[in-house]
Amino acid sequence: MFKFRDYLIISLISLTLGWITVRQFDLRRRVSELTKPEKSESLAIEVSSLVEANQKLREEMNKLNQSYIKLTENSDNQTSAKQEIEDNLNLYRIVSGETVVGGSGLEINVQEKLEKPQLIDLLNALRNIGFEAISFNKKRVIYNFSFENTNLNPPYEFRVIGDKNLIRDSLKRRGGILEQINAKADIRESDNIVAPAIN
Amino acid sequence: MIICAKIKVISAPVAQQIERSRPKGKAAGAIPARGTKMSKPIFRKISFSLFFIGLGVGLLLATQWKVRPTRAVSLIDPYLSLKNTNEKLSQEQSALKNEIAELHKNNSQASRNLKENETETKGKVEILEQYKKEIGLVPLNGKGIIIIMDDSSLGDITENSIAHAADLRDTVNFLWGKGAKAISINGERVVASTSIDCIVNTILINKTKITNPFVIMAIGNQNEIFDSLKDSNSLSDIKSRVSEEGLKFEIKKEEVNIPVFNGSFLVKNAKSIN
Repeated sequence: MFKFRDYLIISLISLTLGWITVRQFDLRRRVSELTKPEKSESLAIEVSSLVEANQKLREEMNKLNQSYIKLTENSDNQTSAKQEIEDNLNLYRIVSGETVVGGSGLEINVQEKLEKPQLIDLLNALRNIGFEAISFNKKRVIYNFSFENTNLNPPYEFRVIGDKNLIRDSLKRRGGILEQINAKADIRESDNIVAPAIN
Repeated sequence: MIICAKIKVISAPVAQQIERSRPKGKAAGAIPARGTKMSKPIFRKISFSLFFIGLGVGLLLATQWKVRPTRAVSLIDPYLSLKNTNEKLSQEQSALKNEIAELHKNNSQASRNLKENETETKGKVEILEQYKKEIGLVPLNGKGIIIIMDDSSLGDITENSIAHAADLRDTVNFLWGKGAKAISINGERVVASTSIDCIVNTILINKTKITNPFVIMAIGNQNEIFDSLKDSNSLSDIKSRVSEEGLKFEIKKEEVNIPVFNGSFLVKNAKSIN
């Protein structure tokens, strides 16, 4: 005949089994959470982006180190230092948009109407891909460019100086920005793209 | 089992009771033998208990069987490896950026020393410093505004209740349009080459990962920028999500410090024409 102690033992065994079962399911859930494809995919893209970004930072650091050595050289006419200042002036003139700039790149023409957010996203994508100089509808784009005070009626023309193969392939690829904003663009490559100076 | 172990000692009066109730012909004083059939209720209780215990063991075994990999592959290792690499690269990026900021400072100082010693280069160094200020290679401080953008903390998370990279892009575009002189987001200076991107759930600015809350600082005409931001017609998509979804978009007037851009400018082939 069952006594109270018998029921107690069976209850304890069942409780232990139940706890182990729940722990097992929880562990499975946490493992599958951690190894979800989206999480790993996101991490992989971040890592890839970081590798590329860090490489560029190292190059910039080396360039600045070289620049410092030249600026602090101790010679009679300080030729290297003067040349370094001249080189930096040329670079900053281009980046600040003060000079007309020419080089190889592409011209991107869009005939259909785009909304402001689409244009913001397209310019952002070009920045992400990387360019040396760019203009929008014959207006040079520099750090403080805004679509706020700009005529947003089509057609739209971007003149981009940079790696034309990279820019073209990135724009046209499946899932690229043109597909995302649903824009049809004519892309013309040239070795002599000209971006105007800021007004 | 305990059930079979005990032998009841029957007292004399009870033995007589049994004697009276026993069918005739049975020996008097006989005690019910061990191993006789259990009553149905007790049998049912034991069966149910054993059934559930067996079910539990079975489930556990089945789960264990499924989880055990058939080959020597760890599901966690690739993910952890990626995570570790990501952390190391992020730390490396942070160190590189600090070093670049320091080098910019040193180079500026070296240029100024040159200016003092060489009259020929004096004018050029001054122009150089001016360019550096414009393009983001010098930290700036002054009167401006701070915007704090963050996900809603009300209710369930939806696509409209969280801050997106697109919101940051729209805000930056708006601020430049209102005459801002310099902008930063979470300590990252916004320059000509700055892109604000989203990779799954992560936002990158200048290829650097940032997390919410997003603190946007801008130097410029403080009152004009502040009033424009407060206007309900500006940044209408963000404003509607603030009122409907609880997206956070706080604006305040402040003295702000915009840090230096510690990245690189890519110019290899472009040449000035005039």
